[in-house]
Amino acid sequence: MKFQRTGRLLLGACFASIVIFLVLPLLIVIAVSFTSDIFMVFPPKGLSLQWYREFLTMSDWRGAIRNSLIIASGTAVLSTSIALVLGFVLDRYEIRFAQAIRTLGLLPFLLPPVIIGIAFMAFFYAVGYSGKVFNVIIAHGIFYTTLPLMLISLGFESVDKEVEEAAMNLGATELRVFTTVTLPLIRNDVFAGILFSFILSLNEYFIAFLVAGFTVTTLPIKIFSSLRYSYSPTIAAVSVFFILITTGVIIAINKLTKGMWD
Amino acid sequence: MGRVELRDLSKSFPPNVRAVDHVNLSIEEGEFVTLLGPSGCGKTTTLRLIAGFEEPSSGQILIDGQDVTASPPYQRDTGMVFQSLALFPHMDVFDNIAYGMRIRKVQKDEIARKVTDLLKLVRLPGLEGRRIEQLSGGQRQRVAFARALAMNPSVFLLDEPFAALDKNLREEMQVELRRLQKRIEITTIFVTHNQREAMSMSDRIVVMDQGRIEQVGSPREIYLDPASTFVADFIGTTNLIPATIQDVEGEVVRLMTPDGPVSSPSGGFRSAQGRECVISVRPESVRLSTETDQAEEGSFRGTIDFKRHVGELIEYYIRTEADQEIIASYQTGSSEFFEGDTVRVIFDQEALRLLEKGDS
Amino acid sequence: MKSRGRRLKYILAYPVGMLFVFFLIPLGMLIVFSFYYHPPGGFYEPAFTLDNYVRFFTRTLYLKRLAFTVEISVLTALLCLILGYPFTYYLARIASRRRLYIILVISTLWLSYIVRSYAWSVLLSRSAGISQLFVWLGFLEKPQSYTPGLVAVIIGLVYVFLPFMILTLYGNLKSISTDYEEASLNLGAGPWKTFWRVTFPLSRDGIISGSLLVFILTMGAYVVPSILGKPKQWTMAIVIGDQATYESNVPFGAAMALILMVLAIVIIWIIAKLAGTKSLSMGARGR
Repeated sequence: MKFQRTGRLLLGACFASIVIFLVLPLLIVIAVSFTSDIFMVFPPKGLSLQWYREFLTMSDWRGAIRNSLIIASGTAVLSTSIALVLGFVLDRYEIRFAQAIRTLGLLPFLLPPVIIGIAFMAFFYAVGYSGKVFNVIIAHGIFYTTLPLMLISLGFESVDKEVEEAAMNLGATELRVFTTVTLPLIRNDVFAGILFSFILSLNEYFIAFLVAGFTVTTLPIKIFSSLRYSYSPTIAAVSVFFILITTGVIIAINKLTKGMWD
Repeated sequence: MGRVELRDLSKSFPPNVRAVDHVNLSIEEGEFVTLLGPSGCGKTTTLRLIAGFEEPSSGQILIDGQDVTASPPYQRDTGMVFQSLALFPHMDVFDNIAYGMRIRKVQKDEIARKVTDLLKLVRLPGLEGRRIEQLSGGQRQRVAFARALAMNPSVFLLDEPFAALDKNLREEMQVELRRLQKRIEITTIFVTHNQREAMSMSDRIVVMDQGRIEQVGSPREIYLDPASTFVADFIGTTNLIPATIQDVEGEVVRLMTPDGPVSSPSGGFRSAQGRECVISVRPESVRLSTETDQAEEGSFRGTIDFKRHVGELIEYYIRTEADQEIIASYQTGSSEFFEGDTVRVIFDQEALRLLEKGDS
Repeated sequence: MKSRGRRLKYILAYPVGMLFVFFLIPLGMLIVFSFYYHPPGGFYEPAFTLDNYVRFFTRTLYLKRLAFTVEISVLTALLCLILGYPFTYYLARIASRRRLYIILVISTLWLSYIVRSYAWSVLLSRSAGISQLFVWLGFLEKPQSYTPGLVAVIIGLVYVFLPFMILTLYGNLKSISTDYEEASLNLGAGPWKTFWRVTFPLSRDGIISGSLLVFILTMGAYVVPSILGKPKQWTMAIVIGDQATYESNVPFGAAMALILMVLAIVIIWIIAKLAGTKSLSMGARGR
């Protein structure tokens, strides 16, 4: 499609403007985070790191950071372990209802968060154990099982069965084949799954809020409530923190899965 | 209608790939020309340049005397069949064939008439309403032909259309295509890496390597008179024997090879004393004899290393005294040699060709 | 290689158990709670009453919210399609540093909705936003804030869900062989005609998948309308969230959540049947 010069230029302009559309707000936030003024102004009046300092030193922010990190780690472990075992058994063995079980694993993320959130609220109320960090870990861990499951399933499929058969032929039991042959081969997908669910949980607001929002403060919850009451550039600094972490994780995931998005 | 001329055509891809390197070629009306060569030789790029999907880095393309170098593909009078056939999966056979006509706003009844005629031409009458996925491989091929020919293009382009077919279907389609082409007398440019295919269908063959044309000629010329070791080796099998020219006597050249002296017709090769070159001789022009005592001039001594049957031929692999490998082929049933036999290798002098010492 | 029943396979009990206890049962509780009674001032009492559903369907307030949610979901899906398709086409067919742009798009995706909505609230604010630019260019006299408001919500929703559309369309467009387009060009159709007659019809599955994805995401949107919208622009998720938390009325919230989910599923089912697609895949995953 090389010849319509004007058409191509127009399309290119459209492309470029959408790229700007996607990136610009984030750039503004980064800029605002360095302002020395007490309000969010763009262009920033002066440059200062005070908001980063505030974010990292004030105890309520630090408490929120700590909660978020705990929850995100727990979520990563829970969701990836479920996904790994599920993916393994479904790939390896003939199971009745295999398709239904796989759908069950893929379903959580596909439902709107509000459904999941209220469902968990109801559940924890009924059980009589609510408003705890543990609840959020469970909720996130289940909600975010889907993505590690997809990644790990694909990883299993791409393992050459003949390699495993060769190992068995040489005398390894199923478990040994798994630990010495399969697992190293899908290691990257497992890591990617861990990182995915970690970062998603770190960023997640609504379910955390519904399930334990009045007692547990996560970073997104703190940001959200700050937005209600103040408009301080600290929020901008926190956002930059998120942007950096997320971008770093995405690049890591891309490297680990050897460019799965090409 | 359908003369094609390529003038000093070149195409480079970044960073430094010269896919087509100063190609000059003239194709006459109604000719069936094949671009032949190994992968990466530039034949497909040349075809795509003619079709207009690539812009040349330099040079010109003329169709019927008109310079089309700057024209986009939809303004060139070419009909192309792709390797993947690229039949529109969301349309049935009729819509596929009618596509070009509809773009040109041809009348409905005219379109219907033409589609029926074309399906008859490719021997698929009545299949207008079929969906593409319901067709067999051979049927799809023919629909692809019909679609490309629907607007009576001046030039018919085919990019390795038979590459994915099994042997029987391929041979059937080769015959089909040639028959079709002769019937409508359309200039055809065919790309393949399969030299047997090229030899069986073409009026002329253009052998390409690394973006350049190695030789242009009829299948017979290419086979019997290869212009270089590359062509000699690429088309069929040949024995290549390094030699040095001893002296020249008129049309006969006397050479020295590791296995002894050989005389060969010069055949247009610029022979000068002391010059190194290569003797090319096809296996069917090599005879063996068990009478090893008579040292005939221009014959070698050797042992049969290996013998194998290839279709209707038997190939003998001989290791000569100077440790060269020579292949001789006989029709099955016309020879009786065994592995381990000591033999004399005798060449049909008229069939020898002298070639430049190449790098193949 | 499938083994017949060895003991190891029974560790399937772990994931299935977890999913059953912590997914299916909560969903069940959701349904159960929707029939519970909400005593005024209290939390909930186990019961079987249709009060919650009645309340929802008889108050125009809630029906309006539902209608608005559906409308804005459709609008967002359409806008994302209109903006996303040319972008993705360019990316899939023309752009050179594809990987860079894809990583860019994906990076914005995993960023919290809060951060992204916040970014737009800054960009649309009076003191730090584009209205400053407009003043400088002479379009406005003095800077003004565009947020919160309907325009802000729409921009925010499109911004946040556009990457989903892009990724879905990208996977689809990449899989359409350029041979078809070249064949069409060879047959005489210019680039514009080729696009509409060949490429666009072949990308139908991607369009439908992407649109449905954005639709269902917007149906459940909470953060964006919350930050960028006035009460007039609040979606069902906000109403549900408020009822369940600030009003401590979980039964009502549960009922509304169910209604929302059923409605979303019904709409998707209808569209899928009309479109006749066999499988709705979510886009570029895997090698």
